[in-house]
Parts: sequence; structure tokens; C-alpha cells
Amino acid sequence: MRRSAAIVLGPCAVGLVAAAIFVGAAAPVAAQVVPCRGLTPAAGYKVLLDDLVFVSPEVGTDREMQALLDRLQNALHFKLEELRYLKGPVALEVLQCVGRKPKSDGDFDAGMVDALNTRGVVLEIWGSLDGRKEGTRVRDRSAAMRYVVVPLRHYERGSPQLPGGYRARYVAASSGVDYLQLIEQAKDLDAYVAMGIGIKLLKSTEYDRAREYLCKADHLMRETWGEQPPAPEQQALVAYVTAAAREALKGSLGVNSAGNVRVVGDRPCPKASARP
Amino acid sequence: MESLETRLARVEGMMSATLARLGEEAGKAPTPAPAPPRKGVLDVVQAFGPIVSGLLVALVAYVLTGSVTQILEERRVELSFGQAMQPLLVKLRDSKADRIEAEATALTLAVAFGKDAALPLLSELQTGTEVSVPAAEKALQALGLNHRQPTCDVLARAVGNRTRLFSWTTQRTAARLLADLDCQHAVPTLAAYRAFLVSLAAQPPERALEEYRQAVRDEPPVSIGTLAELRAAIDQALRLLDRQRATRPSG
Repeated sequence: MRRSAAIVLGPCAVGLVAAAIFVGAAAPVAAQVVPCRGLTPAAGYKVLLDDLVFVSPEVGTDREMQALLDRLQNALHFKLEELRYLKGPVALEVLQCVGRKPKSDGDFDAGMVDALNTRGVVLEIWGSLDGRKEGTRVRDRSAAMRYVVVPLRHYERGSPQLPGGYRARYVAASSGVDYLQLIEQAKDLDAYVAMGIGIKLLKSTEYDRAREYLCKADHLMRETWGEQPPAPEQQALVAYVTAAAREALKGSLGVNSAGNVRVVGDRPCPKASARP
Repeated sequence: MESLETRLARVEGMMSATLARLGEEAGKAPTPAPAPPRKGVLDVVQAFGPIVSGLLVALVAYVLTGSVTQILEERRVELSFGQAMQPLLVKLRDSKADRIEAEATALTLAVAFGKDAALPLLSELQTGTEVSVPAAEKALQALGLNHRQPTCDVLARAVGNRTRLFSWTTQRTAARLLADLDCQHAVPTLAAYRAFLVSLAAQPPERALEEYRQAVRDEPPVSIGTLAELRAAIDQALRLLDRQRATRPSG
């Protein structure tokens, strides 16, 4: 008992202080970030679909939400089909993380993002759904979505222009558009996934494939936000993706060749119309 | 008148007879005790041997009993620690435990079990979830504040391992922690790892990856980018340790 008492009592002073510091520091930011079942370190890229919530209980029940999430998981799987075969096949799956409800980007600190990045997560999605109930119908549907582009947040940690966490609000144009269509039609979601894969490939020095994905992201961003995106964070994203695509092109051609640098030019991605 | 010779012969005969009788009697009588010889070391040993050997046996028995008791006591404590740790380790992996709970559980492990928590926390780094791994890293930081040497030893063993026991992510986190905790004695281990990575960088990519996979567990998968990332982490750890050593007061 002597040894156990020493071990238990000895570190208490420093340990409790440390515990208070560590736990206390983390307490205000986290909501309910539970492990995502099925997320393993196995190879392949992953999109995590966390819980969505109805802002008002009259808009939908828990059972309806679960059904929506199941349908959304499948819809996203097919929505991202093109990105699986952009330049050779890549493994990309959509995982539903039941019970996982981040509150803000603050839940994604360096340790969490590192752990997600090493598990191949390229995007995490969560959000809330709103609407106005009229009789049995829901009108003015809207979705306030949150995205964390994990590789961007990991490799550009500390950059105020590139936080890696983004918001988007989608509003249904008519009452015929349901929540599934609202989210499924979002092109920025595809852009974030393409960017995440592109960054991962660039870091793995797979330059050709990296450029393909980064250029796809560039194209989708410009298509969604226009050639001159209005928001500073969108401008920063487009600039980042262009620079990363240029780096990928240089990497695939060989950076030390002066001739290759000339080939790169200002725009490493072909214009949308020139794409096959 | 007897002659003088006759008388002398008779006296001589009488004396011989007397001496013979005395000799006979002397043979029957106990011999007088010889003078006691001086006692030697052997005699002392012989005299005290049984006592000394008895004491030695008692001493050995005491020592052996003490050691056995101590070993048994240690085993008992380890077992009780293991039993006490188990629910915490289960809780750390609980799929319903969120980030805050996981961090609190990992820190409780570190605080309550001290250096004995280093191995389970290292194991968590290797096999935990995306929630428990960062929690284990934070707990190891806290543990190192109070039990630096044993924590450093465990982490250095992970970094130095080349038998595919650990993944590159565990070794990278361990290297980071070695720097955080100022584990100066781990500098040669980190330098050896760096030399290994430098030697790989000189090889064609596929061959380098193949050789690396012989030494380090390939889950999460290793890529050339991974090796570069790992090398940057090792360089950073060595830089931090060097800076820390330079700022330490001499003597």
C-alpha cells in the first residue's frame, strides 16, 4: 500500500493543477464531439457527415432527421462520384457520425485536426435546418451548414486568412425543394472535398493527381462564387487553390528547370470551357 | 656375609620388581591430562559453526522473504492498478464519450496512476480514436510534468522502435512530446531517427517506402509526404531540445 499511496498522492498537486488547466482550457469550446464510428486509419479519403438538427421541433422530428441523414449519406456518396475517378480511382467514402455535434470550429483544435487528417478525413459537415410550418407543409426551407476542410486547417494552422472552417446558407427557391435537394445541390461542398483531396495529394508529392483535384476545386469555386468572389475568405480560398495548383504543376514538371517555370505561367488550371 | 655384589644384585632385583609393579599399576591408572593446546580459528568455527550457519539461514530466509513479499506486493499493486485503470481506459474509448470527457478521463489516468499510466496512454496514441488520441497526448504532457523521466523513457522507446510496433503517427507524436517535456537524453534516439529518414530520402521513393514499412507499422498508410512531414517533426523536436539545453543555466 505504501507504493500505491505514494503514487496516488505524490503527483496530486501538480497533476490536479495540470488537469484543471487542461480541462478548464478546453471546457468552454466543445459541445458533443464523440468519436465517429467506422472512422479508422485505413487508407482512403473520408467525408464525415455529423448530426444535423432541426432548429424548431415543428419542422421535423428526430425520426425524420435520421431518415434524412441516411438519405443524405447516400446522396453525397453519389454526388461525389465524379471525384472518385477524376484522375485514376481514389477511395472516397461518406461516413455518418451518429451523435456527433460540433458547436463551432473551436472544437477542431490542432490535436483533433491532426487525428482527423491522419485518418484521411478531407471534410467534416454539420449544420441546422430551418423552415416555416404551414399546416402539414414546410415552407421557406433553409440549411445553415458548417464545413471544416481538414487538410487545409491542418497544414495552414494559424493562418487567419485560411481558417479551414466555413459556413454556407442555402435557401430553397420554392416549397418543392426539400432539405435533401437543398444540401445535395450545394457546389461548394464538392469544391471543399476536391480541395481537401488535392491538398493531401500535393503533400504526398503526387503532383499530377493533386493538380487535377486542385483545378477541379478552383473551377467549382469560380462557378459558385464567380470570378471575383465577394467575401475575403472566398478570395483567400481561390488564391490558395490556384497557388497550390501551380505548386503541383511545378512539382510534376520539375521545379529546377527554368523552361518548366515558363510553362507554368500565372494560371496553372485550364479555363472551365477548356476542360474535357 | 654377603658380598657387596650380591647385595647390589638383590637391591637391583627389588627395584626392578617395584618398577615393574609400578608400571603395571601405572597402565591401569588414567593418564594425566595433557596441557591444553591453544585454541585456533578452526576450533572457533567449529564451536560457533552451528550458530553462525543458523543465523545465516535466518538472514537469507529473511532477505528472501522480504524480496518475495516485496515482489508480491508490487504484483498486487500492479494488479490493483490494472483493475482500477480498466474502467477509465474503457471510458476513454467509449463511443459516447465526447472530447471533454475523454480529456478528463485521460488526465485522471495520468494523475491517479502516475508513471504507471505512461504505457496505457502511449497505447492509446497508437490505437485510439480521433477523440481519445489528442486526449492521450494532453495527458502525457501533464504526466511528463510530474514524472518526466519515466514518461521520457516510454516515449523514447516508441521513437527508437524499428520492429513495426508503432505507426509513424505515434512516433511523430512521441517525438513532439519528447521535445515538449525536455527529454534531453532522447536526443541520440531522435538523431538516429533523423539519420534513418535522411538515408531514406536518398533512395528512390518506392524503395524508401518499402524500407520504411519494414521498420514502422503501415497504418495509417505511409507516403513520401508522410516521411517529409515526419522528418520536419523530428527536426523541430531536435531544435527545441537544443534551444532548451542552451537556455539552461550552466553547472
